[in-house]
Amino acid sequence: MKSEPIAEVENLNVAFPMDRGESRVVRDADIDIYQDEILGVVGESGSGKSMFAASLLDGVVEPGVSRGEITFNPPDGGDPISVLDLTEEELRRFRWDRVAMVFQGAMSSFNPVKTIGAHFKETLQDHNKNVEEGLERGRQLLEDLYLDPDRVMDSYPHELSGGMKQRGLIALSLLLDPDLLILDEPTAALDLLMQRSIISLLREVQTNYDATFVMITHDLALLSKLADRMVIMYAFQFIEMGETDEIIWNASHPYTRALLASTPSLASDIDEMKPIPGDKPDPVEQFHGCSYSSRCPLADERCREEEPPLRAVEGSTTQQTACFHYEDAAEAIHLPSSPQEAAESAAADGEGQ
Amino acid sequence: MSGADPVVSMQDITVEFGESGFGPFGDSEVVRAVDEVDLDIGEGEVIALVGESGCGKTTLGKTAIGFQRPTGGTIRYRGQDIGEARDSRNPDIPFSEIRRSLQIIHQDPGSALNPNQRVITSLLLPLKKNTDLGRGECKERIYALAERVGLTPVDDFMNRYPHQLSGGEQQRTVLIRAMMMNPDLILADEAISALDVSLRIEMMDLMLELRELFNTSFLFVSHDLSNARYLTKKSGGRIAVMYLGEIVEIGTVEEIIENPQHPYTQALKWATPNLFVEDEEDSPLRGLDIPDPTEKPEGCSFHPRCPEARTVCETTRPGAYESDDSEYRCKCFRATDEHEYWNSEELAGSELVE
Repeated sequence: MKSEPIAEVENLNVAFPMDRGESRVVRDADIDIYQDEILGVVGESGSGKSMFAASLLDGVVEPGVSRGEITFNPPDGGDPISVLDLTEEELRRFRWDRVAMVFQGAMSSFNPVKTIGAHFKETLQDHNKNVEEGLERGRQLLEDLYLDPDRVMDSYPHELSGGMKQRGLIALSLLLDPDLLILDEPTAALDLLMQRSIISLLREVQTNYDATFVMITHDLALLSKLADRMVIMYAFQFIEMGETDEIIWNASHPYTRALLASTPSLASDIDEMKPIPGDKPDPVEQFHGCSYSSRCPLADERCREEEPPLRAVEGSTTQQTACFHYEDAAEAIHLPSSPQEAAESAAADGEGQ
Repeated sequence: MSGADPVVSMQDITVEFGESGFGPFGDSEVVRAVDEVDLDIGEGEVIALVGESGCGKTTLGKTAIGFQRPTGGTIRYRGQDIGEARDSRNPDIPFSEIRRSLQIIHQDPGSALNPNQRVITSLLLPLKKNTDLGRGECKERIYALAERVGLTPVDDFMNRYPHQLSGGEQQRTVLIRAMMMNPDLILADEAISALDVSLRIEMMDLMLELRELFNTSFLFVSHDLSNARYLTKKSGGRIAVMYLGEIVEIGTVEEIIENPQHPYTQALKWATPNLFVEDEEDSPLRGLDIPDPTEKPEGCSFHPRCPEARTVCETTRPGAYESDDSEYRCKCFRATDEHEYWNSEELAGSELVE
């Protein structure tokens, strides 16, 4: 699966100055994003995942500051771009052309007094593109997303349903053929059927247009149907990453396992679904040791004093975890380790009723 | 499941919004949010009302607790017609008692609490207004419930303002505010959707625990089939699936989740992403977008999206097919073996999305 990294993130920190101290909402993040992959970033609200996403196009809002290195390697062979060092003008071109983003809540991303078509046209003009060719591509994109281009281009945002707007926005974001598309909760406000349909469409579009996707979401179950690889964020840090199968069947961080166990699902044994006790930490707090230690069943003295680094899980080249005791996690938080085991457990659950 | 006398019984309920023929364009803009629905809610029963946004689930829920007046049909609370109780001078059960007995928990607990009042004030006011209890007794009841739902140390929590509580704590506060009226039925309107995933199970367990303690019925409105399954499976309740104002299928967890008959329920099940299950088959839908609710399709309202639709579905609206030995009902011709549907032609252009 591994190809060249399209973006390399090193030691990324995002902080907001606040009255009661600095609020550090992304802490020491390191990750390579590979070309043509769909990378999923999962976390609960306030875990820092949207801030990480915004940093990829240096888009953290004032007074927030992103520090560290984000290197973008153009797939067409251009010179590496240091994203956090770009000037305003360079950044304006870098966004859309290289990296595009679909924000949460498509409802407010369109200008209510302009047609969808006008948004497409304006975007092309602003970036000095051939409008006619561009619109043709736009129409094709809309069609690929099961929208009628004639109707949608002439519509105002309020004339479209939420699902249509969201698909229109995805088409718009791909208009200038970006190398990397960041999707921040692209399905959160949508209905179930639309969510699932958009997930299938995203996979198709990603393959057809050769783009790399980074999808930010709290919905682990939905993401598991789309992502090639996942990063789990807890308390502003990456605590685990790996290929989707590794995360689902062999999660090694106690938080990842607890999150999987707490996610309601149609097939899992309801007696195995458990909430995660305790509260998540405050972003202003300077915690010692592992940020999850106060809620973790495996935590000991060492966890409370020393911060576990992200390191490779034994036997895998792709999975990394930030836990001293990951070998014991599977025993402490039980989850099925294969589809067969899951099916057996669900069947046993049914008989018990 | 439900005993002889339901707590709330709804018959032929229709709720319409909007006016006909007026407005600048003279269009008829009536939305039939709830369309001839029958539903009984038994003593201590948990019913999950599931459907997509705009399907009328919240409107039906609000009708069930007397918040929304139906434009057609009757709704009874323990045999007393709620509309009559509201209008007549001396009904058997006064409207105020009905209102007290049927409570609601909203989706967003943050906006359900007055930001300028301490928690204790928000909790004391309704109790003093609706009961004869003295201040001390009120406080006693509140403290006992707060302790029960884990808002501890109680003294500390009671003196906080809503913004000093986390989302889960706000939701628990709203839950005890509803519970302390000793209600017979609580409408939980997407009450856990706004919570973080890791808190949802905890909140659902809490509701079920309180239900057991007080034998309260719950009408749980949600767009999430997994949550509906969790709640009803743990409580032996029922799931009702709504589409464009109608309950298209209703039954136990086994009937709705494990063996759904209605193509819409099957689509919802397909759309619910599951952990620990290998990928399921392709989309079972013909059309992606929901029809405009002001222009409800003729015949079966699901036919424009239904993969199983045949020509008869375009013209004839299916009735509710009942099962002989349970409360299961399904509004689809496919639920019965003998119907002209089976000889009817499949709809043209039935290529599936995906």
